[in-house]
Amino acid sequence: MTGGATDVASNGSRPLLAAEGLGKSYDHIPVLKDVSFGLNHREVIGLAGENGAGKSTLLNILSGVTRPDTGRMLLGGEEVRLNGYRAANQAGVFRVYQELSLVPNVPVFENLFLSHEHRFVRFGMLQRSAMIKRASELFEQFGHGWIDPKRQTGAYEFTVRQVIEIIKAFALAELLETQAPILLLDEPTAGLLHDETEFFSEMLLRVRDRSGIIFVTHRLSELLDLCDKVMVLKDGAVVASESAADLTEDSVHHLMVGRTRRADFYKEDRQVAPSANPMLRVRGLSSSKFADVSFDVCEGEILGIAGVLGSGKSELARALFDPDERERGSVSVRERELSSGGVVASMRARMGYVPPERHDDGALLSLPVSWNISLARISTANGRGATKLDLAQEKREASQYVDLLGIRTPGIGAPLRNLSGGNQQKVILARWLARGVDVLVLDNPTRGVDAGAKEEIYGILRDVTERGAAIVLIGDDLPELIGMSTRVILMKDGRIAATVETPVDAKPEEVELVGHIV
Amino acid sequence: MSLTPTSASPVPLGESKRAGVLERLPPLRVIGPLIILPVLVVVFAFLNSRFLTSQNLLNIVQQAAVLLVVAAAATFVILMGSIDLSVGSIITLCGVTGALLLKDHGQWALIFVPLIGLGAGAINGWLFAYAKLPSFLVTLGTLYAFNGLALFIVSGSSIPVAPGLGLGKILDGTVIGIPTIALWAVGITLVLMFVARSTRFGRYTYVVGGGESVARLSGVPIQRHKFKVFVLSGLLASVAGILLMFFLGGGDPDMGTSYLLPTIAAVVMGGTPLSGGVGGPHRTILGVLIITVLNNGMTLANVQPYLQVVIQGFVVVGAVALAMDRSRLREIK
Repeated sequence: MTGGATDVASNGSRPLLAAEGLGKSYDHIPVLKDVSFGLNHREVIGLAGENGAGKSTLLNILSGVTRPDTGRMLLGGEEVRLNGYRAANQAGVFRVYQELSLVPNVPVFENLFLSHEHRFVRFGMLQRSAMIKRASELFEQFGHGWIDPKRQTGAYEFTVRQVIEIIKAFALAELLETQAPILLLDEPTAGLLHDETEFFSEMLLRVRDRSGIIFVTHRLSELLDLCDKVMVLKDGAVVASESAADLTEDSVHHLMVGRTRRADFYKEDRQVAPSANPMLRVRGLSSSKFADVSFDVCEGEILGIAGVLGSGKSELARALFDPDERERGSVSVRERELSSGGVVASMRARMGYVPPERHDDGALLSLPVSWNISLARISTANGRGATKLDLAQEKREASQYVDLLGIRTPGIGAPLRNLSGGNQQKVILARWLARGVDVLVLDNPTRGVDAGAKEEIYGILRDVTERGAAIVLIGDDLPELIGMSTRVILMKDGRIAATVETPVDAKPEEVELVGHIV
Repeated sequence: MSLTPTSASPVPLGESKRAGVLERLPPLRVIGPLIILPVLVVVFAFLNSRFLTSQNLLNIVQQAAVLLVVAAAATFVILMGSIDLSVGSIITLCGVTGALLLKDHGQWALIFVPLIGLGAGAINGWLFAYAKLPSFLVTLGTLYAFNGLALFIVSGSSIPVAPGLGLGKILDGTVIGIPTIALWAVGITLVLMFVARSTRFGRYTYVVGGGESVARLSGVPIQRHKFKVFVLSGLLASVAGILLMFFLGGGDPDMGTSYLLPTIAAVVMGGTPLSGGVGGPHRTILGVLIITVLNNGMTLANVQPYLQVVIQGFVVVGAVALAMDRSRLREIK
């Protein structure tokens, strides 16, 4: 590209990007621990790891969005402190986001040079024609000359917008006179169909000679086919960094999920052998995101449901609770079908639901702990006393659950915001216990919760099943599903791919499940 | 309850140790009005010796009455994170139709006025809750529509009300020297405070403002509740309209216009932020007193009336700035 290319040529051995001991904690929970690596020019490093392994945090640090607590970052051998994404761009780091960050309602060329338009200003006027010309040249260079820079960005389909976004990184790199940009590709293929992925791989091969790339993907075959090196993160630490040629899909699986499952952590001794009485019966349930799902959950049973992002497992969880989210099929609690009446009907049938997004859908953060606990009971109360609240009883109820579930809070009147994530989640569980439940649908109930609180939540779930309730546990954490459940349903592309029995004395290994869901 | 406690030990919160003294104080929106009101009183007492006389204090109470009724009801709307810009127009519409009914049909005809308020609130509520239009837009439209309707009904002219009516004495007389209009307003506010604190209706209002998605997944009938709250706001604006009609001695197609800004200002200053979820009608009492004291004090201090409006406007913006927790908002629109 422009001048200064000699730096790279003369320092071929010096990595384009080097990280030394990067670490980050949120609320005293470490999410990234001592991560070090080097990225060379013309190198593609594949970054693998489960949800929550720290991939996004690492990319956030590398792209200047998050400040690391420890460690340092070097670009071309010099230490940099990036303060914001724009600073990262100036330094030659560009990120292609999971959700595309192009503005849909402006022409392509404006997106290409977004926030750097001043480079095209002459005599106080923006040289639109120069921008358009430069954009066309860039598309030609990368073999996509057919893309019209003047067209509205939103008019192009997803895959093309992704190409535009990648080319944008080169456009900006050139404007900023960076000889070899560092591209952080954050699951660029997650939203793509198979043949679209090939279109993407082709693009990747085209640009690799001019850059250094960190590529995050859940598709293990891509890691092996497209990357030179694979780095595996687990629980915030790098557990492996090896040449892609030395790895197989199986070995990457192992590295990603191979965590020793501790039977006592999941209180497996308290796993109840399910009775023969089905509590929840699901038949042929379908919607736009999943199809033909059928299963029974018996009294005292925990049924696990696993699947990757987009497998339809979360949509299924929601549809179990909310009749409006179903298109076909039936859901019955104690042989009584729930077909209408919205979530209130499900609640009256003693079903409860803990959504995966705690902050948006589960917790009333600005309101007192006691109000959070009583909400579902109040909204389904009948007859006398339904319109007037018994505030004294509400306080007693809250104190009772705070003691019972070991909720650590400054007081029952404290806003839920003041509690830690794990304790907030216990409050949400208390909401359903106070309402009274026979069926609990839990979607990632321990996400963002520290290990100690997780163990306490597992204890609560065991208590609930010992009383005869049935639980459907949806999650990304396979050891949790295996440890807690008596059976695990594995979902793939909206359908049940397999069902694996997980009895106390014969719990399967994680890898036995992974193959069914990826 | 047969659950066994999993962790009975009352471990002190690690987080609470980190919180400084400042963080443990109630937020600014709560203590702010408690500081501002006494400061205003002291300043105005200093500027004019007539300010602290019992006569003037009774004036303040009387002047505050109508605003208190509208603002206490509007608090419910704002608690949901919504807004009702049409309250001033509903006051006008109900004030002028009330005066007209009184003139043509006698006092008993006034019982129809609250129905107009209910209808106006139902229109707002339906468009907002069921047609799913933003409350700001809906009530901006009805602000003009209701006001236009009032002008249309009376052809733009004022309708005087004969003094000395029985109902007039009950609503706007005095009992042992205390203006009854203030007693009515306080009574209504006490009821609304009870509703907010101790009824399911009140709780739903907070919960919808605190997290609509959470509320929906917990079985709260969101649409029906939103509708009801706007109906309540319309109903009490009509009550305020009748009170104001007696207070002013007639209906005027401009009578409610000056109530919109003070209503929202009183709610926000009292400590119910526009984002909803926290606060309540009990706090709005303080906001109403601050606004009324400010107006009364500025008049006594001979601040030019037009300038008073300028000051009022900036006071509102200042109050919003103090009350709103802007660090929590990702985008401000």
